[in-house]
Amino acid sequence: MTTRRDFLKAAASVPFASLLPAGHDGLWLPRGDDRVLLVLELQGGNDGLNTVVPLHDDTYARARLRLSSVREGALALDAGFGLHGDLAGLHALCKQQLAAVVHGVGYAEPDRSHFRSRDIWHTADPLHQRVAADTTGWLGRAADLLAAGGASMPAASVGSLQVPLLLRARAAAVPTLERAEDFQLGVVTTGGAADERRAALVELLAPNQVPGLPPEAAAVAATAAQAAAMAEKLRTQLQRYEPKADYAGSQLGADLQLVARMAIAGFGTRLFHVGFGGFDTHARQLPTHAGLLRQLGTALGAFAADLAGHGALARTTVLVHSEFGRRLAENASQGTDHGAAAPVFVLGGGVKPGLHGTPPDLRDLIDGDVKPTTDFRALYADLLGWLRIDARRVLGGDFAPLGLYA
Amino acid sequence: MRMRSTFRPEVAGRTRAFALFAASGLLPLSAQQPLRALLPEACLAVVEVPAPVALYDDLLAAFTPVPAGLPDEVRATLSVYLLALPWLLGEAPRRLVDTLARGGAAIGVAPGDGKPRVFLILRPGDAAAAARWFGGHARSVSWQAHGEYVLVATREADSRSLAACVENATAGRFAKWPSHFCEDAAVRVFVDLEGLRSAFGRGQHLGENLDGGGRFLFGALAAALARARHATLALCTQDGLRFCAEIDHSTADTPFGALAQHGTRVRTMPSPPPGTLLAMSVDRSLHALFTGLDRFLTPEQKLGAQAFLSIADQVDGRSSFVDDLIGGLAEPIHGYVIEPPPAIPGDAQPRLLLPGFAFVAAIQGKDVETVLRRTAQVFTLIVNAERGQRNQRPFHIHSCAEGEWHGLSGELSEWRGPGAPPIEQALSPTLLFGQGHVCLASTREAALAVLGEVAAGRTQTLTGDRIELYGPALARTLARSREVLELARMLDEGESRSESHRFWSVLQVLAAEIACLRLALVPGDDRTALELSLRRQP
Amino acid sequence: MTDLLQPFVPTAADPFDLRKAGHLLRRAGWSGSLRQRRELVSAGVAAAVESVMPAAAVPPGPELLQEAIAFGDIEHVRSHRVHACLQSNHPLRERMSSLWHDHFATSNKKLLDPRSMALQQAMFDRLGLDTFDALLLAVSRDPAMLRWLDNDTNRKGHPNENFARELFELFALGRGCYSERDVVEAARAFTGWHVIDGQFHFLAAYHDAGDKELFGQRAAFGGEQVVSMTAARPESARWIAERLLRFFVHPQPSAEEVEALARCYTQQQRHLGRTVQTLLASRLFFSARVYRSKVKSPAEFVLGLVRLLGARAAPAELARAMGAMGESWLEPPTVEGWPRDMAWLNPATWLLRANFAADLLEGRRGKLRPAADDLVAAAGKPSERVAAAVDLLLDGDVTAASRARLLAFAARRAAAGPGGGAALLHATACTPEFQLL
Repeated sequence: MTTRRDFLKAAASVPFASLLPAGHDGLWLPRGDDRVLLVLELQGGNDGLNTVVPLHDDTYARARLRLSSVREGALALDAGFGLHGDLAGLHALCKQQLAAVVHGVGYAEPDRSHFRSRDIWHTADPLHQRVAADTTGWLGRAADLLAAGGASMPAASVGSLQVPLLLRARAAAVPTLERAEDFQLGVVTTGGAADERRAALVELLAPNQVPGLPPEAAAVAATAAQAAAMAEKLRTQLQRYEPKADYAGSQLGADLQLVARMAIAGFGTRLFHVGFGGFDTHARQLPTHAGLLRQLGTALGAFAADLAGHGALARTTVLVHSEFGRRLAENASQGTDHGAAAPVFVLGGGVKPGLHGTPPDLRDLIDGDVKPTTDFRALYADLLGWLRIDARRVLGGDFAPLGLYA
Repeated sequence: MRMRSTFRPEVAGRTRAFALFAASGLLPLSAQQPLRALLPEACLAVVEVPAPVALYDDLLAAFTPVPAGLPDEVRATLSVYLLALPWLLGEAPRRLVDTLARGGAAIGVAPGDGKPRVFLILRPGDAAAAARWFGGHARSVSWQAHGEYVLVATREADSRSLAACVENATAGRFAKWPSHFCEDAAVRVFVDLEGLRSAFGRGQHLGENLDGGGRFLFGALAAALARARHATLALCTQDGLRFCAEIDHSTADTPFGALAQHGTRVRTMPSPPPGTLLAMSVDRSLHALFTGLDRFLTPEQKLGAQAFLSIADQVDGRSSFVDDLIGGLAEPIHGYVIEPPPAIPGDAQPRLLLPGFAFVAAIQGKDVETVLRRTAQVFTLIVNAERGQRNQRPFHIHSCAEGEWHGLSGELSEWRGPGAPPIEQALSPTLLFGQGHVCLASTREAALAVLGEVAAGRTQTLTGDRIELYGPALARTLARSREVLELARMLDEGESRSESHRFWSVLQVLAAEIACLRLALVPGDDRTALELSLRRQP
Repeated sequence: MTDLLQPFVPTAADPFDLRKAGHLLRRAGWSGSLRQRRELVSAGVAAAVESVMPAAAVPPGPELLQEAIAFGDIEHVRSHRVHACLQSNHPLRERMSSLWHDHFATSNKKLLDPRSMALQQAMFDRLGLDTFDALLLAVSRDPAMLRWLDNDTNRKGHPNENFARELFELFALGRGCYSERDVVEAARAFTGWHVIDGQFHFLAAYHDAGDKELFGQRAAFGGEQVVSMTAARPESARWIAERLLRFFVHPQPSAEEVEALARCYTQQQRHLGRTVQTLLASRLFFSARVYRSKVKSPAEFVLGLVRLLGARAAPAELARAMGAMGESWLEPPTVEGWPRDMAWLNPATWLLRANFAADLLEGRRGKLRPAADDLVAAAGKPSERVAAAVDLLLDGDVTAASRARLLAFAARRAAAGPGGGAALLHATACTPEFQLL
């Protein structure tokens, strides 16, 4: 006959595994030096060829009579390639050896639908057919692994209304954050005594050294104590935060600043997603793309400077990617249509700087699109390795890493 | 050239008469000066009521009788308040107003630390009785009788300084205040905008925090407010209630002024057809906005607009949204919301019955019809594809010709499922051309109603922006979907069924009482006028 | 009936007190106000259990359902479900529907069809306490279920086994109680069961009318017969008995308990209402082992808090809060339904619950009527105020350790003045006992 004592043992065997930490000798607090990954997704299909611009390629110039004018203002990266002139912020990071570019990232048999291609990048499954209610994303699976190891909020999505497929997990709770205050201990504020009430509540929730609670209640009390401790830690860390860079007031800047605050606070959330839309430049690409890249460059520069100022850049990596690149040839509306492979950026975290991967050959195209020379899952494998998470379990297979990290 | 105000003709005669009378020396000096001239210089806003008793009578006539359809509890509450009022005041309200302020009243508001300072000058009908009333009732203010006036202020010190102003009888700065606007109004408020801005250190950049849509619609007004020096607000009580305001800076004379193509010129719009609950025409040009994004939007808003354009241009790949489509229309586009047509017995109706939305504009480009037809067809494909994914029935679009109008119209197939049909069952998106106009509407009936006015040549003239709300049609529209609206309020606000029912009943009854509610913004050469007028059902 | 399922008879040592009344309302409903609990105590256990059972099979007004669907919006339908739970005079009906919704998990994320989801919920309301045979048949013909498990593309010659497999594995039998052959044959029996225009239609042209071999018998079975044969199997009785025990009694029911309830269920001709009534009146239900042995799900926490306070709040806000905590009705995460017990609770979700309680008590989640401060006297000795709060939210039953902490809280400035009553209630809602069902 089962007794209450078996409750805790049984709880650990429930299919959606218990998320209580294994050690019960006190509180488990996240280590302040955990590595953090931010996936910054450029939504709409960023034009890779006009972002990492081939400086001396005639094929490029002939296929894009008007759009190739970006070559004139390009900021040189190496002999063959330069960054779009409005990416000054990112260029500075490259010059400081803090950023890497990976050429031609994509997957075989490109899908040019926004939704399907996004889903493929998010689930790390190029054969993916249809999103079911229980499909998980690659970062969601990574979050599940972290959660099984005891983390209670391993991942968060910033600035979107719904958690994107990328972060959909089986067991881990992944919230969407708009403000850092969302994860602090709330109190009744009528009558003004908010601080006093918070202090009283923290005392109420402090871990109970005196035995007296039945096992189920004890398990709940331990969770509550942990929650209160985490919330208080976050609050004091956030109070101490002082921005070391100017995020220039854009929405992207605000989202990145929230990620920076959480990363600097060492709260234990290690996987983030931020989306930045507007890149579907079918018509009149030049001014639109320039504006977007300018915002991107400024925001990334501020993000990196802020983290560096707090000494957190070495343990934070940013992956900047898009669901596909765009066609080599420009269309009749001075824009470009959906394409295939595109370059991605990896910043921070001690990444090996410079240009990686094989630059795509513009004479060897698939259907007029750039052929991928790097499988995006190899990129993921590198990042997961850096995060010290088991890549095979997340990606469902082995992929030879790209060597982005020493 | 001064603005030709609609108020001019009535007022001009009266001003002349007064000037003659004053010049003849038959008026004592103090009566020549308006009461507001006696208020302290520090005041930034001044309220003047020349004939308080007449105002009382007019307001009473406007608000009573109380609408018959109001729920019993609401009527009971109102009656209790009305009965308690004389008891609270000490005597019948009308008599009190006459006693305290037969000869006029003026209120001045000046900034103070924390709370504003208020000054009140009254010219009572019965000075002794007024003094007695104040002695008995006024506890938290400081008052004093001074000759033919009673002076009231929120603070002791202010009361003394007010007395000093009256004593000297020198004309304060409000004596020379521009006051030609609505001279026969029952109540007028004069605001020193410049003073307000410097007192609070804000307001110079009014409107810069608005989002894209806000800038498009209100940017010019906000900019004019930030630059104007004087504002006059007036409440006119003849022929319904009219609230008017004027500022001495034109919206046309601001960076956003270029968004208004017509500016101070008069234009026409088709008359609202019978059954209209809202008619709207705002003089804003989408073409001007999209061709001048840098002028009107912040960089971030501009990115948003460009993202929209790159998709809009893609829908009909062969033409430009801004140049061929918007540019081919004579802006502004007029909008109408029309009550749903009566139910056909036997036809299953959705529980939530939307009114019809119709947009009409004159055509000035030759390709507009082709572009719009193509765009409509692509749009239909996209919408039907998405509906197909959700196992919903598609819209069937077909050509349609109705008298002098030709175009496209669509609807869903007949409803056969369990229960009431969904909202979209009552939609019949329609695009019609003819007589140099185009109309896009959510229902065929709405399109034909508006185009009927176009065909008959029935128009109305206007300057600037105008929105008109017709209460009875709104009340009938609400009545068609009452249960659904009541449930929505219960779910969103946590009200009980009876509370929700009462809310919508009051709204519906009040709406039925309002013959017409008009909001208008009229730019002039060097001033801008706003008007909010309310006419009750006879 | 074995000892376990004998009716509970209160004694002086083990009376039917506020704790047991609260326990009954928590498990068989969404908790109840202090007044309701006290009424049950004075009525006695038999009358109390009787009052909890719904009257005849009267479904909630179809008019209200049509109005909820009118907007075509899933949040609206979800808010309407929450509203129905709060307003219901016999919340056991909605409780059973939530059990069946979890058991026959169907998600709008795939269907994108609020109308069908609402009609499925109405079906659970109608048949949730009827016989399991009737319920299972209705589920098999439900348009939302058919599209969810792809049975609407199940045709003669191109069978789709998804529905048949889940019918056996998850809905009615459990793993290991059937063979692969049974699944294939059952799938053939369900061919031709289609959805047209949101309604069930049997298309004979697509139906495989040949002989099928199922559970060792051979005949030209149709879908209805598969359903009744499945429901009649003894493994099904045990599967359903275990499900009911896990929902109403204890997360880890013993083999003995499962056998006892399965026997009772079979004796009652598989009538769910009579079985549940027996269970709710039993000694097992009111035993010490079962009391506060489960962790509240988000719905039980959110709706329970509102009903315990005897208050009204905006259903749309409550539905959103439940969604944030992980239980978004009409959108279960997988075909296995939602997580259970301690899996609901981790520091992040605990924080969401505590913050929700603070928001609700303050009136930030829609007006709370009556307001929280009015429920716990603003003045008065700390021990009296704590007693009032504990009575209100915890039936007066809290461990000595927790009571000591609450007294310490009540003595501080935090619990004084305007908002102090609400703060004390918030602290009570943060005790570990409050998270237990």
